Amino acid sequence: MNRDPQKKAQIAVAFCFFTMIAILSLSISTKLPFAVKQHFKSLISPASVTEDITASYVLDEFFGKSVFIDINGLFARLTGKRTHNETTRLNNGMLSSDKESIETIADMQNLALAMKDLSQKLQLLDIPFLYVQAPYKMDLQEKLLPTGMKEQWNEQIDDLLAQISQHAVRSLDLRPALSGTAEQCEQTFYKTDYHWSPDGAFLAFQRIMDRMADSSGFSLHSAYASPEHWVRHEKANWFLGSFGKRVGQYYGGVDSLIWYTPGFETHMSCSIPHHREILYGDYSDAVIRTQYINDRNLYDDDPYCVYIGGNYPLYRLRNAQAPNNMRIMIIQDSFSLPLVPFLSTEFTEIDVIDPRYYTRSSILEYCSWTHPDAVMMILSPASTSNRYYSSIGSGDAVLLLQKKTRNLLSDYSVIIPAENSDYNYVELPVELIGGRDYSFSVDSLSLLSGETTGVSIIVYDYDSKSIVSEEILALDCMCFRGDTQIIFKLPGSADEDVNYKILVCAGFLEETSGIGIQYTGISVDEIS
Amino acid sequence: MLFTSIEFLLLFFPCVFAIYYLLPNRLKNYWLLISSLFFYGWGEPFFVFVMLGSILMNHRFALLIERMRGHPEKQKVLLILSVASNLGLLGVFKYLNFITATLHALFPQTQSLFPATSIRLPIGISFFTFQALSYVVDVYRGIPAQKDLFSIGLYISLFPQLIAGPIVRYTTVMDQISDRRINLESVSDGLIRFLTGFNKKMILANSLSVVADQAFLKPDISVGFAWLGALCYSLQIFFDFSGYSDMAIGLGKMLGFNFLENFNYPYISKTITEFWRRWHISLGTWFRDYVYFPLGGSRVKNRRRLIWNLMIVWTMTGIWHGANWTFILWGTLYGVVITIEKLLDIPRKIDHFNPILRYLYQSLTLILVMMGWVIFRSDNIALALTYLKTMLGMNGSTVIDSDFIFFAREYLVYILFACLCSTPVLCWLRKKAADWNGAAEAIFIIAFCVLQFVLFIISFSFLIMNAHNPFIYFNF
Repeated sequence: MNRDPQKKAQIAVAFCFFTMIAILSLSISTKLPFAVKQHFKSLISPASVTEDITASYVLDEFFGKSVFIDINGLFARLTGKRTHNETTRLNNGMLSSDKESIETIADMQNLALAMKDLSQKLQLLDIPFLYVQAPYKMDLQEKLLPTGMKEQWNEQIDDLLAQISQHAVRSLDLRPALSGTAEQCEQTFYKTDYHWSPDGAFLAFQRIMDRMADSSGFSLHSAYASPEHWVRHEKANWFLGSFGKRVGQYYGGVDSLIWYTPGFETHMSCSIPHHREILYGDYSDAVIRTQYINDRNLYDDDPYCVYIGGNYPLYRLRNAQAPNNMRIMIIQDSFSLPLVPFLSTEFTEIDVIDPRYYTRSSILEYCSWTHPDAVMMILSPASTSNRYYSSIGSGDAVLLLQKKTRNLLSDYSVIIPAENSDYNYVELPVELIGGRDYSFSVDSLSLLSGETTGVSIIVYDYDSKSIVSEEILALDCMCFRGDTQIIFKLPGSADEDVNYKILVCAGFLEETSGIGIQYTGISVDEIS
Repeated sequence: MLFTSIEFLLLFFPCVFAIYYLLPNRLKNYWLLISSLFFYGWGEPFFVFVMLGSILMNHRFALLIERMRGHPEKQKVLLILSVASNLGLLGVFKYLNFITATLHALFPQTQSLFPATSIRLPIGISFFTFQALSYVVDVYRGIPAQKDLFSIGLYISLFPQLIAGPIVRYTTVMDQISDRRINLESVSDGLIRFLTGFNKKMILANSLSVVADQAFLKPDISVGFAWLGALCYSLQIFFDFSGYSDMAIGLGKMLGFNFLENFNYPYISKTITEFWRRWHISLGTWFRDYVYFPLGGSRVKNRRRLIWNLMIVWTMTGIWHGANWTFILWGTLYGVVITIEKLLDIPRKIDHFNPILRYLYQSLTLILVMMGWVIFRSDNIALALTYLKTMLGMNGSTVIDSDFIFFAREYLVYILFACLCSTPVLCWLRKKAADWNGAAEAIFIIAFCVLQFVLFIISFSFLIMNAHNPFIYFNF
C-alpha cells in the first residue's frame, strides 16, 4: 500500500491542530500573568487557580468562543438533541428553559404574602394595587413540550394566582390571552430569548388598559391601545436571545429585532437617576436605544434592551401629551421593558422601580412620597421565586400616614450664572438633621446658557466632604401634579451633629462648566 | 490536570511539547520528568512528595535486589519488604478509611482503639504503585535494575500514563527511556491517536454520562430506563477509559514512547474470560503475571487450588478498583463466572457451539458485563441490588416511563454511534477498502484523519461549553 497519502494526511492534520492550539494558547497566555498574580496572593492550590482562571478569564473572554458555541449548537441540532446547555428546543423550534419547575417554591409563597401586605398597606394610603402575571413560554395546553419532558411552571403560577386571589389581591393573568395556545406563544415571544417580544408586550398593553378601564375608580381614556396608532419595525436576523446565546445561532436560529414607534405626536422624557441620564424629545428619543438597531452584535449585545436600555433601580417616564393625567408606579422585572413605553403614551407619569436593585427606600415609602394613582406589579414566572420581590410588603403604612411635614423653605428662587467650573452650584439656606427625610420640589428650571438635559440636586456632607445623596431633575421637571419631586433620606440620627447641606447645581454635577440655570419656586420640607 | 481540560490543551501541552522538541536528546528526559512532576503536583501539591517517596523507595529496593543476586533468600526478603511497603502505601492512602469504617460498623467497641480516619486519596496511586511494584518484581526476576534515579522517576511518573494508566511495564519502555526516535510520522501518528481518545471522551462518554447519571440518581425508574441507564453507563465507562488510554498512548507516541494497547473491543467478547483479555489489558496481565502465575496459575494440582487462585485474583482485582464493598462484590462475581467458565472449558469450546447457542452465550456475556457495571457504579450494595431488581422487573416498576422515552430519543444518535464504535467496524471497513485497492484504503485513512480533526473541533466546543468533565477511572 502507498503510505504517502496517509502520512501526508496525518501531517496535515497535525499542522492544523498545532496551529489551532498555538493561536488559542497565545490568546489565553496574555491573560495569565494578572490572573496568576491575583490568585497566588491568596495561596490557594494551583488546581484552584487554573479552575478560576478557566472559569473567569478563559470562558468569558475566550478567543473565538462564539464560533465554538455555534459549532456545538449545530452538532447538537444535527444529532437531534432537544435539550442543550440548559435550553430546550420546543416542538415549534422556539427555545425555552429546560428547568422542570420554578425553583424555591417557598419564595413564591412569600411573594403571595408580600403582595397581600403591600396591597393592604397601599389601601390605607388610598392607592389601588394590581398584580399582572406575565406569561411563560409554554402554552397552557403543553403542546410545545417535547415528548417525555415534564414541566410544572404553569401549574405553579396557577397556585400563586390562587393564593393571591385568596388574599383578595387584584390580579390580571395574561397567560390565557398570550400563551394559551402554541400559536399565541409564537406571536408573543421571541424565539431565542426568555422574554416576550414587543408584539407580546403590545398585547399585554391592550389587556392592561382594558383591565384598568374596567376597575372601579379609574376613568380612563385609552387612546393608543390599538395597532393602527403604531408603526411596527422589524430587523431580520438581528437578535440572538439569552437562550440563543447559550446554544449558538444554528441550534435555534436568530430572531428579528422588533420595535414599535407611535404614529402620533409625542413629547416625553425618560430620567434614569442611577445613570444621571435624562433623555428628551419624542417617543423614540426618550425610550428607544438606537445602538441596538444600528449595530449587530449577536453575542455581546442584548437588543431586548432596545427599549429603555436595561433594568435600573428607578427610572421615570414623563409624557406631557398623555391622555390620562395619572401617575402610575410599576414594580418591574425585565418583562416590563417593552411594555412600559406603551403605557407611557397613555399616562403622564410612570415611575418604575426594580426591587432587585432599588435600595433607597421601601416601596411603601416611595408611594408615600409620590402618591401614585395606582401601583402595578408585573412579573414573569421566573421572578416569582426571586427573594427580592418577597420583600415588597415591608414598611408601616400607618406610620407613614402619621408623618407630618414642616416647611423649611418655600418659593425660593436662585440664578446660577455660568462658570468655567465642573462644580458650579448654590447651597440652599436650610439646616438639615441626620436621620430625617426631606422633600425637595421646584416649580421650574430655566436654562440660561450652555446645554444640559437636567440638573443634580445633592445632599453634601461638609464634614466628611462626601456626597450623601444625589438626585437628578429633568429641565422641564415634568411634574404635572405639583407633588413633591425628590425625597432625601438622610443617614445618621437626630442626636448626631451633622453638617449636611442641599446643593442645587447648574447642570449635572461634574458637568456644569458653561451652564447657567435659574431655579424658580424651590420648596424644602422636613418630614417627621 | 485532565487531558480534556483547557489548561492542559492550551497551556501545559504546547509549552511542554514545544520545549521537548527543541531540547537536545540528553536533556529531554529531565524536562519530561520535571513536566510530569509538575503535572501531578498541579492537582496534588502534597502528594507529589508521596510519589517521589515511592520512586526513591522502589529505586533503592531494585538496586538492593540486584546487588543480592546469588543470595536468593536475601533477595526474597527484600522483595517481600518492597511488596509490603508498596501495598502498605496503597493500603494507608486508599483503604484505611474503608477498613476503619467497616471495623467500626462491625465492632463498635473498636472505635476508641482505632479512631475514624479521613485520609485523602492521591490520584493515580493504584496505577503508579502497581507500576513501581512491577519494576521491582521484574528486577527480582532477572532484568537489570536501572541505576539512574531520574530514569526510574521518569518511568513511574511519566505524565501520559501516570494517573489512569495503562500500567506500563518497565521492560516495555526501558530501551525507549534512553533511546527513542521522534519524527514527524510518529508525532502525527500519536496525535491522531490522541485526538481519537479525546473525541471518544468528550463526545461519547460525556454525553452518555448524562443518561447514566439520571438513571442512577432517580429513586423510582422504569425497567426500560434502568436498562437504558445500564447500557449508557457501560458505553460511558468504555469510551471514558479507553479514550483516556488512547490519549495516553497517543501522547506517549508523540514523545517517542510506544505503550501497549489497553483495550481491544471488549464488548464483542464471546465469554467473560475473553472480556478480561480485552478490557483494561494492562491490569489483567499485571494480575496474571504478578499474582496468578506466582500462585501457580492453571497448572495446579487440584481443582480446589485453581478455584482458590482465580478467586484471589479477581477479588483483588475488585479491591484494586476501590475501597467499597461494591467493587469487592463486582470483582468476586467475575471470579465466580470466570471460574465456572474455566472449569467448563467454555472459552475453548465456544467457537464450536452451534451459532444460536454461541450468540446466546455472547449476549449473556454482554448482559452480565452490564449488570456488573451496575454494581460497579452504585454507591453501595443495597442500591446496586435495587437497581438490578428494577432491571429484572422485580420492583413493581413500569416497563417504560417518560424518562425512558425522553432520554432514548434525546440520545439515540449517541447510543447508536457508541454501540457501533465499540465494535471493530472501522477496522473491518479499512480491511475491505484495502482488499478493494490501495487507493481506497488511502482514502479511508485520510478521511479518518480529517474526521478526527473535525470531531476534535466539535469536542473542543464541548470543552468550552462544559468547564468540568472528570474521568471515571481517576479515583484509582
